[in-house]
Amino acid sequence: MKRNSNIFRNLTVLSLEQATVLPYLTWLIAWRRMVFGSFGWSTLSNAIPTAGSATRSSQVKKRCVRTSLHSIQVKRQ
Amino acid sequence: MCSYFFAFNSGKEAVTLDLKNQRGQEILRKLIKELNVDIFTTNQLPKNYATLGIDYDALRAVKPDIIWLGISGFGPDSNEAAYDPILQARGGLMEMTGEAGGEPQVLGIPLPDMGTSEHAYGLIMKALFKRAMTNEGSRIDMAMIDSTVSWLVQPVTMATTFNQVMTRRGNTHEFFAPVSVFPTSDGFVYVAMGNDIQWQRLLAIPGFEQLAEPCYEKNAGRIADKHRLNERIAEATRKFGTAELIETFRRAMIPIAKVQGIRDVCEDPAVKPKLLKSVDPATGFEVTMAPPPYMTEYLKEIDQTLPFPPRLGEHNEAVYGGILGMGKHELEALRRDGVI
Repeated sequence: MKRNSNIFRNLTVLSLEQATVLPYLTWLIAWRRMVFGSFGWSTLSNAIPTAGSATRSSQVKKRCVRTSLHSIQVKRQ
Repeated sequence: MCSYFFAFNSGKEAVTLDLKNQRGQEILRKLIKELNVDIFTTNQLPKNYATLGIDYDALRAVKPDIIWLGISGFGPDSNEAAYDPILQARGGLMEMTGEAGGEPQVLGIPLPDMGTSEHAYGLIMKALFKRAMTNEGSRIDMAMIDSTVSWLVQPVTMATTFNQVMTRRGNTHEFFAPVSVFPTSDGFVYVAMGNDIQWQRLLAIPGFEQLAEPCYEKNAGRIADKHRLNERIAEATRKFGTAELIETFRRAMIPIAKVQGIRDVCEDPAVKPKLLKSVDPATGFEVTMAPPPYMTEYLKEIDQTLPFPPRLGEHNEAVYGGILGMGKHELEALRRDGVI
């Protein structure tokens, strides 16, 4: 019971996202086309990860909960 | 679409880690300990949980009260790959979408993808409450098929209990007419007429008098002939501009709405002030994102501007170096060996 007033505070979420690569690449392609008018394949090879990737929530000051496609992050209060 | 990346990754930090490598798994366990991780989520296929060292038991051994969420297509006992449209097809959403008699259609939004996240969010909240009350963690296995079919509230009961199989019916309503999308000279409007009084009001509008036929006086008569009726109404609405028709119908207290394009939606006074944005500190590139379902005080305080989504592995040094205390040479060795 001692933690019940503290449920949403200082939460850290670690998400392992198998699908990060695909959205990242689509974003990269779109962004490079928008900014440079082309997409460089060297960037593609740099972007491919070794295996998986992980994200965690940033530290923020206030409680805020946000959901996403393959991960859920709970920002820190 | 790139919007997937922006909307779902703003505010995060990203590291790369090869979990097929034992050193990678060891780093993950250290991260969970050092970060005092509350919630762990993954969308790996269930068969990979143990192989990658991310199964619930392995992580619970590191942090006993961890809340573990595994999102899969069809539950932890299935390794069938699942993408949103696969779930839309198998889960009945496509069967319910499209013109009557036409082909099944994919929804305009990835509801299985995003709906599963929303449902998982609710379960995470319950798990947090349970942990607060009992100090116990939770394992949550969230299947996209369960989330997807849970939206079929009416069709499932109608088919299984009342032997009435529902299917797609375009823009019309099952019980009321006229209810549909109608063309104007410069767009489309959606009209929903829920009673006979509204029908009489429609007949009083110049341009619609020719619809005054005894068989249409009651809703039952209109429903019985809804396709021909809708065609006749469309002939009349085409002669109006959208703004003019909306004003006319509103004066007559007939429910109507402009079918807005996405640019219109973004400019809508009910939407525009709530849009989120994110600015890339490296390039100044600014992204506008969909509004949150609820405007929190926190979002107001940060001027609705979220930290820009990270590049892949952008925070490797900050996290592995700053939090785990790895030195430059150690990081370089991990990079060289393909661990990070």
